[in-house]
Amino acid sequence: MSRDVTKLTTPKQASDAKDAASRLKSDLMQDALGRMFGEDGEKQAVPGNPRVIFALANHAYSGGWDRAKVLQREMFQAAAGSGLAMKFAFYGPDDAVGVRRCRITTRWITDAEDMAGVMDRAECNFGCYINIRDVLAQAVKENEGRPLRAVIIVGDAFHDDPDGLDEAAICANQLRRAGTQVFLIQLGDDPHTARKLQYLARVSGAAVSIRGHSNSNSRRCWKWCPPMPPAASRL
Amino acid sequence: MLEVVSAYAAGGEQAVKTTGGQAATLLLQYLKQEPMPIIEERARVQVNSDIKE
Repeated sequence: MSRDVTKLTTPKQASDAKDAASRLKSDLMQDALGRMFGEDGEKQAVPGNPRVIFALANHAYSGGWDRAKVLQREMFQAAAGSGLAMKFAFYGPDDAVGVRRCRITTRWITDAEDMAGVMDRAECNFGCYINIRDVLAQAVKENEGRPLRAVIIVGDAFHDDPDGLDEAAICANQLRRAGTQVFLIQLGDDPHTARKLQYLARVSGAAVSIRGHSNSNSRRCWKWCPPMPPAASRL
Repeated sequence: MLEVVSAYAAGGEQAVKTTGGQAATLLLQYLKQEPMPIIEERARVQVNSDIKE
């Protein structure tokens, strides 16, 4: 009776050696070495008018959607005179494997009323799978040329598998290196999503907030999670 | 909490410092946080399920 345990070596498995986990680990090691040798300087403020991607992964007719509209209005009010420009991202129809596609506005929006109108026209009536890596990958593309000031992602549940989560972390780290701050704001209290977001925060420096009660509009329900200790596990 | 996100979007870290309060303090901690290297390694060895006896 054979007790062979084989390590698969087909071309596909060979390419898996350079999978997301390995690339993420390599990126993080390079970052750590850079800090050790003082090559990772202080983040510099991005010159020019601030640009922000505001992404929403929540049912279009939920309290979360309404709260997001209020948040974008507050951002434009707070940034009055600074020339703040935003793109709105959300999740559209399913792709061939039942995962919602990330969609983003093609133009930069500079007005709260305009933004509210775009959000009203968008639909996000998903009931299937959505991945946070899709919106972070889109943000990396938008970051080319001139970095964004922030990427703000609001959602109640994300369904990335471990590899997908590592892809998301790679993207979040690319944004961080460019000086873009990522905000991850969770609606509701899904524990799996909370752990995924906290893992992303730990390996990329993103800021995470959890909202305890998805049906409440009270601002007191929102809070920052404390930064994660180093020994926390991934999933 | 959302106020400090708005403040950051508008004016970056300096605007958050100006805002003050507990939410701003926690966010500033995040902004100073360095990413942690992954400490656990996922098992990559797969068992061939077609092993013949």
